[in-house]
Amino acid sequence: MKKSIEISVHVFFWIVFTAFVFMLSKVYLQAQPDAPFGNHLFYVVFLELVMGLLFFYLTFFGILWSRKKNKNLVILISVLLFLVLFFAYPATQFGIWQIMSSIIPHVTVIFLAVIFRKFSDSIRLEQEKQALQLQNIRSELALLKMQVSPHFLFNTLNNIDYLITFDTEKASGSIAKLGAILRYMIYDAEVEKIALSKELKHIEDYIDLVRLRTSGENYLTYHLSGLAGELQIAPMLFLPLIENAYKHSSTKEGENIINIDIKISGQNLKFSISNEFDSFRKAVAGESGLGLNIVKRRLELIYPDKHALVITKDNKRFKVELNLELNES
Amino acid sequence: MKRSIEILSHLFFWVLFTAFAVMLSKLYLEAKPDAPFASHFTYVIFLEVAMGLIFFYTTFFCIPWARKKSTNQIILGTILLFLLVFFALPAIKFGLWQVMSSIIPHILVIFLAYVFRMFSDAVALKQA
Repeated sequence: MKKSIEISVHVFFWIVFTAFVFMLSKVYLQAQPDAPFGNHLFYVVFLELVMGLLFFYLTFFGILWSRKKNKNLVILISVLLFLVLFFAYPATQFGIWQIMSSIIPHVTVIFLAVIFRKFSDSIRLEQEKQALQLQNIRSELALLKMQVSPHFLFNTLNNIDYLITFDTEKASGSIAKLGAILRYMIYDAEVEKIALSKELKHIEDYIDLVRLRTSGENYLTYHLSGLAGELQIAPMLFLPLIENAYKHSSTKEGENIINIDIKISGQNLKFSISNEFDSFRKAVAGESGLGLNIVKRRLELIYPDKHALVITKDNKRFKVELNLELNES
Repeated sequence: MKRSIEILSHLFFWVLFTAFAVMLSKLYLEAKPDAPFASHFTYVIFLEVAMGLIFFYTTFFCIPWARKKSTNQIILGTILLFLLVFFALPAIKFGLWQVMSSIIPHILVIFLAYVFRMFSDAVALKQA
């Protein structure tokens, strides 16, 4: 919530407060047309407003000051009490309800100032919470990069090293793709959201390099349907899932070991990845959990109520399906 | 901050609200002793508090529900608007300021319920 909303709430309160005082004075004047303030209605309303503002903001800002020391709180309460009695004193000559008509509204204004202070604190707290969440997302993204990069980098460099001897053109293309991926990871992925078209290009480059590490034309199949258009997405959401699928696939050769399917329709994106895995092989503790957990956490933070992540597993295949509702900004 | 402080602040608010209603009615009766509600003073105060409670807690408890969907916001807005008009309607025969004396305090109560909701959220957030 923005500071402007807090200011609007204050402005609205004083508009309603003024209308309330004006309305009360008018109703009173209808009951007693010869009331002494009849000729000075606007002046009386103005005075009430000034007194209201005095009590309200003395409390509202005084609370901040009083939090520093206990002594300050005693001073603030004493000042407010003095002011309440000071403004009520002239009414003592008119009767108990006239005194009350000064005390009760001022006590109410003081009380509302305390509530408004809490309201203001809630806005500050919410802003701090959002900043903390943003910081978490950034740290998790950094962690994600650290986890993906070294593993991926060493394997790819080994494959390129092998290619240099047999197919220099392919090796050169692969180095260019590796460069593009590293640039994306280090520079482009620093932002909160990135163009979906860029993320898809990154996935395609990444898949091309994964293919270097495997044998078989259709070891990894990739299908993309729909147009990315101007859609934006959090960077590197799919990469840990692809890396996970490769890491845990049962073999590094064969057909249809990994299938990736991306469908874009309107603002909806469906990402599906499945891989064959060896059900007899026990996963090393923490080996596969980290990447997937980071993806889950990022989805919860960046796309609350706008994503569905379904993970299924049978005897042979491990499948992850992700539905995302994207925006253009 | 504990939940008990929030409950206490609600109680204190309703004590002040009742005192406010009593004080205003007493002042009005001093100015116009033959006012129609003079012989039903306690009943009038009870009605004022009851109406205040309806407006306040309809807003207070429905805001979390209204935040879920924009349709819910429209429904809540319509209900509150209907209640405002419904309670102001009998005052039409007495004049503009009597209508205002029903609408303005109720708008103030709705607005304060919104602020109290934020206060309540702050308590929940701190506890979290």
